[in-house]
Amino acid sequence: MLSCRQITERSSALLDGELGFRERWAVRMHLAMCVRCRRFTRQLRLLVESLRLRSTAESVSADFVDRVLAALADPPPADPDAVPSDR
Amino acid sequence: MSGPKPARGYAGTATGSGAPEPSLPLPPGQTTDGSSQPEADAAERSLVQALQAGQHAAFREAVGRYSPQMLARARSIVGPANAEDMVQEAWLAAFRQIGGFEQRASLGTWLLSIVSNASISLLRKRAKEVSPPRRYDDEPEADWFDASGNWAAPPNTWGASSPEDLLVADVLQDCIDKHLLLMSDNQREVLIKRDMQGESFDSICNDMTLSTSNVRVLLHRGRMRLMKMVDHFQETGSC
Repeated sequence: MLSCRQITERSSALLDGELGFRERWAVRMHLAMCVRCRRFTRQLRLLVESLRLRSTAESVSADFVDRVLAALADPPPADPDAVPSDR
Repeated sequence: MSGPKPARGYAGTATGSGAPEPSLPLPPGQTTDGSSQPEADAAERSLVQALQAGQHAAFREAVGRYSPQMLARARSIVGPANAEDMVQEAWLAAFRQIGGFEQRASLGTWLLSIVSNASISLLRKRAKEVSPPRRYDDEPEADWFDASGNWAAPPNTWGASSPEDLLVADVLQDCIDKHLLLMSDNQREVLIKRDMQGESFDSICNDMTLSTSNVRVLLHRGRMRLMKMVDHFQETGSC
């Protein structure tokens, strides 16, 4: 039987769907019986989902396009490392 | 180095070939990645050509169309205060380099990678100023358990029941930003790429030239650090 510590060590892999069948089964067995680890893994999922949520697209302020175009007309010095190739 | 000179005369993305109006702005949240619609592909090709030709109206259309996603990406990495600056910097870099853009990736993907790189590099610079020496231990979860591997104390129950609830506290958002800065460069970058940008392990390993197991360990420990921080925040209201 896995210990609670071993469950937290596997919690990221569980969340990412990276555990093999046997290990996933062992983790599930533990979670079925351990309220503390259930709470921990549920809250880890919550945290990771909230990080993803921070990346949701949002509107730009009305004058943003104008400011970018104005900056384009008067550009600061270039940083040669700024742009990756589109390979 | 100077960018392409904006020229007049670009009329949307119409190519004169009778294609349907392709210049509809994407709704917020919709990505431009992986679009398989031929009209959308043709529209993007003609937009890129117009950008490469330095047509002013194309610049305006591109900035209006792609900035919302770029802003969201920058915000998730550097926080709201610097996000617009990062997007502006990314546009300047993109316009300087648009001549060399070969459309192997979609324009949206390319732009997002530029703004990500700029944002990650700003965080790296900031981390150097703020956080030496690192105050993080290697195993953030080490003190959660007793010698037999059981919880030393039960994990706190968080008040939030959804991701939206969790993020509602601006202070917690600031705490996430602050703790990102305390991570090593690699750990921060792995966490951003995987958990904020949803990249695959393969793509992260390739990008960062790290092994899969290395990436998984960095990711897990980064998440555990944030778990510990949120736990502390739930208890005390600060981090």
